[in-house]
Amino acid sequence: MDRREFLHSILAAPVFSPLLTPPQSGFEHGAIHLISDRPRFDILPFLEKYRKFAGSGMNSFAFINPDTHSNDLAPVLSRNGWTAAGRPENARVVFSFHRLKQKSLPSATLVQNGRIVDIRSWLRAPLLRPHRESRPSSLLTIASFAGIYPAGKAGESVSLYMNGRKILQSPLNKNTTHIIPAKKGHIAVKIDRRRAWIQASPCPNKICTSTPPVSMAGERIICAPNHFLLEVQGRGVDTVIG
Amino acid sequence: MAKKTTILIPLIVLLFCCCSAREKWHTSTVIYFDTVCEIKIFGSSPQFRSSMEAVHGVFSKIETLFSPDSCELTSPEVLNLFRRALEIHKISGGAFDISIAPILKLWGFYERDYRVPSPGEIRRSLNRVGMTKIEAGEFEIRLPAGMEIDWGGIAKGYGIDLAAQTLRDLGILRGFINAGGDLYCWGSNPGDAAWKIGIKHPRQEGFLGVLSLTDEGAATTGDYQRFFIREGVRYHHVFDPQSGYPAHGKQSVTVAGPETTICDALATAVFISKQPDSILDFYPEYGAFIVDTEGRLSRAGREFTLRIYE
Repeated sequence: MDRREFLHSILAAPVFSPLLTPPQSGFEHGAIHLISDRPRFDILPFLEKYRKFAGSGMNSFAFINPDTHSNDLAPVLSRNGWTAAGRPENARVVFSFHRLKQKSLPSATLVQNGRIVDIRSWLRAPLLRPHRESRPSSLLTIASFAGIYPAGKAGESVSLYMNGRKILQSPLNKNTTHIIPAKKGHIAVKIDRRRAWIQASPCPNKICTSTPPVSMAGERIICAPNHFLLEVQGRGVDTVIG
Repeated sequence: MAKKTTILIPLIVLLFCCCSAREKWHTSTVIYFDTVCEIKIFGSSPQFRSSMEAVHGVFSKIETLFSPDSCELTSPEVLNLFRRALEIHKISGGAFDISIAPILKLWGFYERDYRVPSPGEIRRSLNRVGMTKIEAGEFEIRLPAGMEIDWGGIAKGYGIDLAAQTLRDLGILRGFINAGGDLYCWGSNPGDAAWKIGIKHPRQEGFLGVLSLTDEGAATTGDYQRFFIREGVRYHHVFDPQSGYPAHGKQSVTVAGPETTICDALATAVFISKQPDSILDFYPEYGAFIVDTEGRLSRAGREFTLRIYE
């Protein structure tokens, strides 16, 4: 993204501007959170944009929870030079689909290393609007890049971050509920049977509460409006091979 | 004079503290060798920037040198790595063979257009396999017609060793490079202990165990890394150069030792060979963790600490 585009994205999303940081070319985790009922039309420009930061060869994909949307999306990706990897652990980009509890205006959010670097809302960015609907949608598509998909290692603890600062660490083997003060209320994080999820949040879209529970090292749940991040930590390993 | 020293020493200590305080852990992910490479090093931000430039330089050079399309059979690096591969080929009784490319192609592993060839096709392709058929002179490698080299079993490890050496020469005292499962780590980890390397379980979620390493490399060859299934049979990418079929009897082999290049090749050799111990006898600094088809873990060669979780 060049400087002008970056400024444009800031103007397009004043609500989130404190979190906006320039995209990095080297990153550990990246994801696009796309709210749109028609991901097959809307996600491609963002994937192409991201490819620049992720380096060459970033073109194999897989689905975590294949459904009708993956059937629609797969041929579109194939036509545009992407290859199906079959299994998520072999893919560079992994897609997952989530139903929102409440409809939300279409938008695309770019997240790198847990920080929001760019938000595009259809309404505020008319340049991005051709052939796109601006009706509230109920589907969230998450495209995760590189390290964000867990390498199949069970987590040991959960770290909670607010505004980029770690506020709490809690073991996954102890069933508990944490109540975290947030803007306009509290976030409830539930840990039960080695899985963690956000039970309640005062945010408008409830994307975080509709995200499935996480249990594997490296998995994350993000609540963007509250600048809140939940991350599963691995069992004391520095890296994984095999 | 004494007074001067009393002022000077705290000053030097202070200066040292200020400089070292600016050192921190940096991580980066780059894509080379058709895989995700994770790099983590301890140093200042300028050191990190020059380190990443160096890694990009080394990896792109290795990628070009050993790509099937642009491999120069006269370059000293290619000749050198060929000789090292040939040594492991001989010691492993032919189990490790980088001339396996025609077989990989026949089964569709190059184009990812998988198929099970007929025994006749496999026999014909096997005629074009065998490292000893390749003439390696002092200045060039002469490939007989129809033969081809697949550097996949050794070049990535070699690239990691070169990149790690370059970073150490740049003054990076602690870090690791993990290129899609081939790894080299040096110095101590962020917790000031040996690096903890999780080895993926070939069949289950989670780890086989956690390996503690310092100034050493490791590499894994597994039947789960690249495979296809036809009529209920799993055909994976580690081919036995004697039969032309995927090697059987093991699910995964992890080898650890001082050089990732050797770990990389030995993991493949041990996976294919029926006598892993006889190979590792020649490499006393290397040790292997072997998971057989029943999922049982065994060890061969040098002892490494592997913490196993229930």
